[in-house]
Amino acid sequence: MNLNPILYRELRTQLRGVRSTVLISTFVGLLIAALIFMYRTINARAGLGTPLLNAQIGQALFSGLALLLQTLVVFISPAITVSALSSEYEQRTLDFVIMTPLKAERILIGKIFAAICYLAVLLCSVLPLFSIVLLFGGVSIDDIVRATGVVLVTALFGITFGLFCSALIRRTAGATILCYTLLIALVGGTLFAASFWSITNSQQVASPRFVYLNPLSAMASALAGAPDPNPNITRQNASLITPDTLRPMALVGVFSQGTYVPALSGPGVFLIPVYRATAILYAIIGVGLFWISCHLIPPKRGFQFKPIDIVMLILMFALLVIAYVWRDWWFFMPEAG
Amino acid sequence: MRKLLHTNLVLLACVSIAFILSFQTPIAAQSNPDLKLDVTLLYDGNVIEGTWLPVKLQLQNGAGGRTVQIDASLLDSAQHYTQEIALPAQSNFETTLYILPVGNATTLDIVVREGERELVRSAPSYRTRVGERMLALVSNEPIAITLPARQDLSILPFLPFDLQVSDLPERSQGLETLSAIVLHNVDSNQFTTSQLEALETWVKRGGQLVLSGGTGSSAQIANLPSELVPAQIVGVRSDLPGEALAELIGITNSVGLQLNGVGLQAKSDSSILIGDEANPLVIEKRLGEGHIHQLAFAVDAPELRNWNQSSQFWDRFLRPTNPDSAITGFVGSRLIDARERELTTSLNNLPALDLPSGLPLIALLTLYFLIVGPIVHVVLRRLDKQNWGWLIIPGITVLFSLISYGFSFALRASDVLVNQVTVIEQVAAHNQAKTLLGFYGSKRNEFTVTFQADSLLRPLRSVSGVYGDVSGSNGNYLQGNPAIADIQSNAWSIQGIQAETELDLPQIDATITIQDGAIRVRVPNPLDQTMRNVVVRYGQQVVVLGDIPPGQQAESAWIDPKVVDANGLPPAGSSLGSIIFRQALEEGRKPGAIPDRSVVLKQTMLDAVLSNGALPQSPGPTLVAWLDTSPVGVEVESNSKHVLQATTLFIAQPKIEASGLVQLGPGWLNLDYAGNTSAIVCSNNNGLIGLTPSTTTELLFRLPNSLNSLEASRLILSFSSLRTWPNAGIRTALYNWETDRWDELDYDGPGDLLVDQAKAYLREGKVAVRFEGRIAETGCIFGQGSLTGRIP
Repeated sequence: MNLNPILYRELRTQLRGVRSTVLISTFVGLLIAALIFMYRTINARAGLGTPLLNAQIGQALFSGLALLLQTLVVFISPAITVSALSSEYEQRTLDFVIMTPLKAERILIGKIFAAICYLAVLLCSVLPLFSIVLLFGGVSIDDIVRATGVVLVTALFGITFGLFCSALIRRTAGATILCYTLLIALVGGTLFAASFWSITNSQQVASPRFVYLNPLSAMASALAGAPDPNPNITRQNASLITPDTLRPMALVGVFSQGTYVPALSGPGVFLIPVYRATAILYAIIGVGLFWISCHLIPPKRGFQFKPIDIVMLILMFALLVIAYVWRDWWFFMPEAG
Repeated sequence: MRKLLHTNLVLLACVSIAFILSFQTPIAAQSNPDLKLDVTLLYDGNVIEGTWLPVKLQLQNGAGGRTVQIDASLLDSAQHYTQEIALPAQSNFETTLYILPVGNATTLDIVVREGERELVRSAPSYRTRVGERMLALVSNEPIAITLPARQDLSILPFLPFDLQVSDLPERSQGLETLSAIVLHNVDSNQFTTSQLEALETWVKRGGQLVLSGGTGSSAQIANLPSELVPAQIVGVRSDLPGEALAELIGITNSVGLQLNGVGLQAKSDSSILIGDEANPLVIEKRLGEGHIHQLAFAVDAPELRNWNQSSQFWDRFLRPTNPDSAITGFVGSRLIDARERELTTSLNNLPALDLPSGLPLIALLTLYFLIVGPIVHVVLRRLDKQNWGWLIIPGITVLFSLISYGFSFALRASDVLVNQVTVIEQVAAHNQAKTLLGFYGSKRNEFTVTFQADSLLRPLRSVSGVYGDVSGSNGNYLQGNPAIADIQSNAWSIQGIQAETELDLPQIDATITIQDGAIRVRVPNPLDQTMRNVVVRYGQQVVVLGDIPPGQQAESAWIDPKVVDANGLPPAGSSLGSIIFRQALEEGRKPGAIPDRSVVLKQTMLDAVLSNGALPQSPGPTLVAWLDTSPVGVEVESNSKHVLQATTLFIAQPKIEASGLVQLGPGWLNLDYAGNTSAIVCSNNNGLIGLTPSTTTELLFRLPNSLNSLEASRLILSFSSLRTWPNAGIRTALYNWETDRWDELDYDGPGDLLVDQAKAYLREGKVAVRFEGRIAETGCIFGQGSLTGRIP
């Protein structure tokens, strides 16, 4: 089998050592701890206030787990690749790789696929935890597919982003700082901007464009599509949801700034499926970062036209065309009147 | 040959289709020679909106013995009232079905079936009335009574019915549509025990019973329960002065009306409504929320018929004394309906889920965490096969996923919440239970609810709540013993049923004893289960007795009248639920706190049952207890796993026995909100409830009925107001019952009005105060009294 040698090498070495065990254990352990905490909290208030149905408990647990998983993925997926190239530079092993017939893009693809395999193992390892949702119900296949899609898109983007930082800075410490500074800006900064705009505009709800790139808002909008398993509420495109139906989703509400706008008539809100915009933009940016990374690997930097550039150009063009053609699907606001 | 085969096949197909259709289409029969059905709607099919309509059914079975089902429903309604009857061969059978007309339908659909086969059908019409006085005139022959004509009244026209004793229903629900019942010259031996119990219950729920006097009145009251007879008959009278009747309708100095009748002597718990001690014309007894009026004269007395004010008199006399508590309400509003709606609202306090124990699953996940993390790493490292981790870790993940998902599926919790609230009211020897069941789930469900006692079932009243509308379930309501409801409930809204049951429970002889200046309360528990959190209340004073095990009793001193401070008591007019659960509710209202649902449920139930419409709750005395299990015996079966929460409230009325020296502190002599018909209820920010004054304001204070014979020696009335009490321009007077005059007093309000020689101002437990002048400036007057006296 003509396997990418970088991929082959990574697969053989990644699970060696304590690092992978610690990462898997921490990943799974954190989620189990969160699950126990959420379950006990719900159990403690079962007899107080408004009673909960099993479906609502299931939704609350699913939302909590999904949000925590997304947060972990946001910070762990770049961590897998942020040292992929910079450590090679520091250990001076990349020069040997470059001397081989392997092209830069094959090196990058090998690194990316190795990271994907590793992340897949991590994500699979949390599957049993979601069985507690089955105990209570309230979550449909649609919701699971949506949440899974958001996690996977975020993971792919994070891997590519980490690799880019690693290729750009060529020092692990510097790459890590750059990577996480930008991530914090992406996660916290966008929410801050949306909230600041809202505060300075008479508490109006901020435009969803503020949070198109925020992975946690993307997950919040994917989860809030299942606020109340009431069959009378349709979930096609934008859903009309009353504020009450978001009530079990207190966690979701924290990241929902910009993901809903008030209904144009009557009570309730319009849910904006921000995760669609996030997926499209991540795809475009991810391809762009990969393209740039291909030109950062050779020792002598500077743009030199390569065959890969044609492929990237076509791919980027195709993505932009798709984004434009499908703009109603991901870039829309509720119609006036 | 082929053609013959084809023809035979077509013929066979036709016969088969006809055979199949014969099973699909029930044989509908408009009439059946073997079974005859006669339907009679009581009260000629007239019924006050929201009350039960008794439907008498007579079945003539000309065939062999059979079991039939009677199904009655409103046209186009999905709620069916049914009965199952075993008809002997060649027999006549009579039964009564109770229907609850709702909505705009005016026709009943009554079908008698044997299995799936329809035997006979009938579609009688009925008419719903709103704001009318349906009057039952019960006599062996029609009564000639001069009632006002419909066109002569602006509200509450009369709708009289001539009935015989045998026409009266055996259930009190069948009398609910009547505002008054007049018994005239009936032989009380004709009543069945059930009819008498129904009559007594109907009065207690707000009905007005009028016992006609005259020549046949002795036989009429001879076998009536003593509870229903306010006075003894002492001889025949031919000189009863009728002027007092005219005073009832505001005509003074009327002369010339002399009535024949009987002499009456009021019993200790009754009072003279019209007339005086020498010539009592009408004796009144308050029983529960209703009244019994015993007349010294016959309702059809010729002198009365010839009196030109007769119709005005009957209009005034037969008007509800307290419209809010009258059994038929006032212009369409019934207190019973309002209470049931509030009780239905309590169903919104759904039970907590029967949450599955997460421990097994969490233990499994913890084991998984250990295996997939350190254990796999250690094992593979020892074997120097770390690369196998790419297969082993996902393999372990899949294995544990299968186990944990299987586990979760097996342990899946119930998703249907059933809330059962039962209220048992014991008044004298009667126990009436009202059971409401609300069902709530995430999908459509079917339930079979069985009541192990003779009950009348009906859909819940429609109210709104936290989960949207609460409404009645569609289905079949089988009347009888046991009573069974086969119903459906929709997803995501509370639906359910209500049952009314007459229970046979031992009477609780709770007593408040007032003697030699001390007050004590004693509550025995003759039930077969513990009475929990027992509380006895009069006015704002509450005594907590805790749990009383079966067969035992609890006794306690009442709040010492010498030390009780009015400011330390809950505000006058406070609801009993808010008094009992005040602390728990305040805890739940603190920032960040959530109220305990069971507390909210109990408070809602209690206040719903004792609600008095726009007026404050009756001061009591009231005994409240909670039972662990409902004596009604309710079984719920459904096609889904469900969790059931049952809360049972028991309410009774303790007796008050007093003798010798009586000292009553604040809270015993209270404003009679219902009796002060000219004033409007008002309140302040602290929940204190008073009455709105006008330029001339008369306030009536009242003691409990049992203290009607108290002679007061010292009286203290305390007044306060919403706005500043004017320091001049207000005349204060107390009514002197001995001289029939108002005695003006010096009173510098607000504060205490002290009367040392109080005997003349207290009569039959009533004290009347009048304010004239600038009293309206006070905005709202609050008052209560305390007194010292003696029971002779």
